Amino acid sequence: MAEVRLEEITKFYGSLKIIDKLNLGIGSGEFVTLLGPSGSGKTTTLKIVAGLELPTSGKLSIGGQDMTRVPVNMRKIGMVFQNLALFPHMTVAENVAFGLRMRRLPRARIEEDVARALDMVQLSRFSGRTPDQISGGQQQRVALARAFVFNPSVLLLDEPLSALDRKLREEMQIEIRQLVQKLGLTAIFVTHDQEEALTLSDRIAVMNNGLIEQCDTPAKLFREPATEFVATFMGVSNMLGGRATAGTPGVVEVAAGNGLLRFAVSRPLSTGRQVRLGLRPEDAIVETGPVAPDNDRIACRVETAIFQGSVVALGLRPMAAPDVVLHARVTLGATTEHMAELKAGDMVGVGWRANSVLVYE
Amino acid sequence: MMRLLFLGLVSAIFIFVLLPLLVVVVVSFGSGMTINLDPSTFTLKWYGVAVRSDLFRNALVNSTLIGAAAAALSTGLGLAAGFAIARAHFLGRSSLEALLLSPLAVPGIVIGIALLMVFSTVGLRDAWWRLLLGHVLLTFPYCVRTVIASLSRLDRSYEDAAATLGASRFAVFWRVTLPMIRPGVMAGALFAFVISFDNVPVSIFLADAKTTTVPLAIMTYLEWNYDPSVAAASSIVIISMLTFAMVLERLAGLKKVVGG
Repeated sequence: MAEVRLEEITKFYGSLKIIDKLNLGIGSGEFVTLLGPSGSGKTTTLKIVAGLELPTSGKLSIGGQDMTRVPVNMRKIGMVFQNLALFPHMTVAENVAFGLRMRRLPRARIEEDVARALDMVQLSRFSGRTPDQISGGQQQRVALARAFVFNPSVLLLDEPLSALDRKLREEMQIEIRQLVQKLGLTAIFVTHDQEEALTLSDRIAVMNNGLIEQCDTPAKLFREPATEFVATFMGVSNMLGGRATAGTPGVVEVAAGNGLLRFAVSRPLSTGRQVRLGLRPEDAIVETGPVAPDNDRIACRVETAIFQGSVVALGLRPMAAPDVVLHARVTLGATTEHMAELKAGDMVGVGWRANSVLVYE
Repeated sequence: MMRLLFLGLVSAIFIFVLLPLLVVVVVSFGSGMTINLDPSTFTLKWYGVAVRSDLFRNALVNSTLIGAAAAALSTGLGLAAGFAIARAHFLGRSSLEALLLSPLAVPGIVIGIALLMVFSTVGLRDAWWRLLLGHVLLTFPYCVRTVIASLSRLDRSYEDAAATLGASRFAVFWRVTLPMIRPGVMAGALFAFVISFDNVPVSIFLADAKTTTVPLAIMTYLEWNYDPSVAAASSIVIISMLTFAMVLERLAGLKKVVGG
């Protein structure tokens, strides 16, 4: 258990800049996820912490010690790889014992630690099998046990769940979370899956082009994405450019085709300012039927309505600006039950509360 | 219908390839001094002649030892060179690879003459060592090739995982890399042995009257004699090669080795 600090870490591959002056501090026992699209530098960052890549410049410290140039096998870091990388020529127990054997612990101690680790991941019965004789979820747990059995200072996880199906994936997320908590490990998890990041993390660092765009708690990140990129990545699927027409409280007009859409925002804006608006589909307020002229809802025609069980996902075309599609997700409940019946061509009104509209300049 | 045709074709190919071998084995049991296919007269006499013949016996020992030594040396060198080519980054890497594989492209007889000239210049007179060195040169490309192919198929994450678990570079190689590329390495060694064992064009220049190999001994013998002891010697070679392949299959899984 130790805190991890990356200071001004930069990495070049040839002349290509992969990571650009990255700063990140991770507290002892904290679970931090690096979230970003492929090519954002998240896996490279993880490899720098592991020692599998050396940074071109910058400093890495673990538990207060400078680790920037310490070789990978001296770092005492547990890592779970994307393809798991279980050794196919060794049994489950031998795989888990590998890190202990490399550290030349006495045989009795190794056996004891392996047994305990396998017990924690409920695989004691499978210790004599080889990796190809167990299921995907079990392989996952072997990889985990192998990575934490020698009490690493940090546990690194590089998209370890990407090969599993959805249900198993969700089970494993909970299992990983509980295990890491129980062991009190500092953990860095890499994923491109926003939901996975929200489920697992104490904090999420959203990466883009080798930079951290925002690092915050899941709730903060979800409610208040700091940049347009983070907002898009967190599922804010409506992004519109517009011009402020009134100052306090702000009103933004979005010109689309030959029409205008008007949105109230809660923060003051100077008139004439160009901004981008982020509208979360979950925050949309949808009313069925035609919109009265004095109402500030935007009258739309339903283009797509997809029933997803507890939610209806709507694609809406405003009558005033038919070039735009607004995405709305309505959770079905006592007052919204009838929306399950919405179909293409129906008329609805849609709007967003001023305090739920995200404004980016 | 297509399946039947395919089956017929495959059987025909097998018969075409294996029938001559079968004829050799049958002939080795014949009683006369010439080739005889009558089963009632079968005898083991020619095996006795072959085993008692110094020519065949010495040749068999030489071929086996030289083949094994050449395979071992080539495999060792092939691992080192293959690693350098597959993993290190240095100037002229691909030219080095081409150079190491070049013996494959040069006719054996040219290599044989070239080696003979070099060996006599440096004064290497011992035929056993000349054969061994010549065969290492011949078999080395196969070993390098299989090592490079195996390494390029091996995902780096296994070695990375071993390193994060505390393994030194040597421990990573010894405990993870080598066991995982073993089928390929074994295939290279097997090819090396077989190529060394039945090589004629290079061996013929390097052997001498006292030290010869099995194919050379058979050729020498056939120049002056034509009796079934040649067939008996050949049968011994066929049977031992088959046994060798089967043992290897048991030990290392030849199917995996050859089939990938």
